[in-house]
Amino acid sequence: MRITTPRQNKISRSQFLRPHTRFPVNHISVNASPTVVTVLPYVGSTGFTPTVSFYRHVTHPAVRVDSAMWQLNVHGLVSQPLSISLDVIQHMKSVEIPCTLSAITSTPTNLLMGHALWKGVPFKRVLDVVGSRAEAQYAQFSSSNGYVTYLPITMLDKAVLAYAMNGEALPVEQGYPVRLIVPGVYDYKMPKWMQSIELVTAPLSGHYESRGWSAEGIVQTTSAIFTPRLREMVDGKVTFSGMAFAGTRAITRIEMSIDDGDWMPVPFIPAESGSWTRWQIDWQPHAPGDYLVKVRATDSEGFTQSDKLSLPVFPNGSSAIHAVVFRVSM
Amino acid sequence: MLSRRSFLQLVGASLAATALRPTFSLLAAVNDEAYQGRALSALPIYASRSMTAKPIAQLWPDSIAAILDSDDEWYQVAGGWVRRDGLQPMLPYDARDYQFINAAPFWAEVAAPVAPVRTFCAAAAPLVTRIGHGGVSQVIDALQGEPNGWYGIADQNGGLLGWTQGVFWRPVEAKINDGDNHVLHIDRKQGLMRAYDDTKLILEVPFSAGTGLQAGNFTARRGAIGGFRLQADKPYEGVSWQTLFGDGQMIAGIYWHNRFGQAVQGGAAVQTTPLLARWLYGWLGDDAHIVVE
Repeated sequence: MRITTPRQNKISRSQFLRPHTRFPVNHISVNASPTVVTVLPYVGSTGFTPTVSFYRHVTHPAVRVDSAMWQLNVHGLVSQPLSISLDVIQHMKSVEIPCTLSAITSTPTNLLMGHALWKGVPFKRVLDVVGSRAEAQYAQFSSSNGYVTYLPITMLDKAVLAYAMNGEALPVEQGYPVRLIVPGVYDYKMPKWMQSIELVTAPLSGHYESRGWSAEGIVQTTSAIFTPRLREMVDGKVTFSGMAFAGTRAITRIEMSIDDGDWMPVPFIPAESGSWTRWQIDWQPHAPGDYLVKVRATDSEGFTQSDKLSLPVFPNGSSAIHAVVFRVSM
Repeated sequence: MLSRRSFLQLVGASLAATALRPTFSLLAAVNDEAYQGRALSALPIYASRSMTAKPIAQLWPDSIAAILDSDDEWYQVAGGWVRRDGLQPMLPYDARDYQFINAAPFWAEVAAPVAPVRTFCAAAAPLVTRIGHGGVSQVIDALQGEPNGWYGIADQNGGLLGWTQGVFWRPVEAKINDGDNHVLHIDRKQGLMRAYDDTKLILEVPFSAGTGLQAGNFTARRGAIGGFRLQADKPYEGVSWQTLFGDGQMIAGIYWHNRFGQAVQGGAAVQTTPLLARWLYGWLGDDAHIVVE
């Protein structure tokens, strides 16, 4: 078999002796440049996951709520119980936060993650209105479809009762009229189609928690390769891109390995707390063929993803690493 | 273009005389316009020859970088300098030259920076080992197919070790050009090997060896062109161009470091670059005299 390809592996001396030589592809600057690659369905041109391609759960069908009739009830260990309409919520002082959402069943090969801009009312503001009593330790959430979950109030400092996503009204599939957004926890702790919030001393029940899933739902450190895709054919230079995520813990290191070789640190710009960290790096293969690339991340608590490609998602979520095989044709 | 002398300096040898024979494999590299090295790890690039400065860039592990200049401790690459012990000088590699050979068994060397060997013919198959540039193994089976054909590599017992993409390899043959007056002095104290044709010094080469290397006068005999070896309890495949002498001692080409001249952990192997081990293999042949001092 004869490979007929352009002469790309031969590096001439004169090429490197020109003044103001730029780095060749495999000379990676230690300073990361902003990631610009749009990778659908995960990342649109705005840098957020397009609403239309944001992952959805098939286990909980969307509930259509009549917003004219809808009210959010806040009660329990409060000084002043409250029922507020969507119109009132939308007129309260709001915030917009970028936040990455992940299903606890998400794995690198079945990535149920998305990153969006969420607009809504800070949960703490609602607590200030109703007056949380000292003995209140948990918030028990109920949805219009009967779904229930809970979180310690101490984990809700940055939570938002969101009614808009990526600059538009929250779609039905994402929890219209209001869903909870909590940076750093899996999405089963962020109920959609919210109906009530009850402050309690101890949690009452949770749909998944009662079935053995994590009570706190804190996301595991994870990472994934967006490009190249599995079995993608790449012509010459390869642009690797992807994300790393550790919830509210910072990502401190991202590394890649090609063909089970040594790990290569990938330069990146740290993301905001609760947002995935995007990364991008170029690589020039030296020959056509099939290659295996892996990525792993380390978080600010010093945890590094193991080398395992498959780890159980039950009960705490998975920190398995991602590997992709792609083909280079030069 | 670098001179022949300059290239030999890149690979760690100094030319003590001009009497190298035309078949000397290094000449192939000298005549090429590019001089390159394989990054043995994620290799920092410094703006100057100092490790106290913050690196300005890094090389991908197993990537190829053009070598522009060198001194005793550093190689100059595009944009700066890298530590010499992190870059393995390599012969030019052009995947266009690859031709699938469906005539196993034959010996082949890793022409690419590295060749992963896997349990079956797929890039995602479990890894058996990785053989670096210059490593040599026996191909005992060949499978034509995507992407560029696969070679089955022999283990130390002649069985199947695993499968590797053929494009990373090229066939090699042992070329013997030994002579009656060839003598190799191995100076343990200085970490240098000196090749003499009769009394004429023709090549001086640094090597690495463990404390197990024994002094004495020996006769060289050709060993395997490539094979398995334990080094400091780590298994390595593709240890190339093994010239044997004494009781279990050998000279061999290794691909996993470029710190020749420094002692290493392990036994009685004299480690040098695959390029030089190959030349010594042919030059020493079966009867040359080896003196270990």
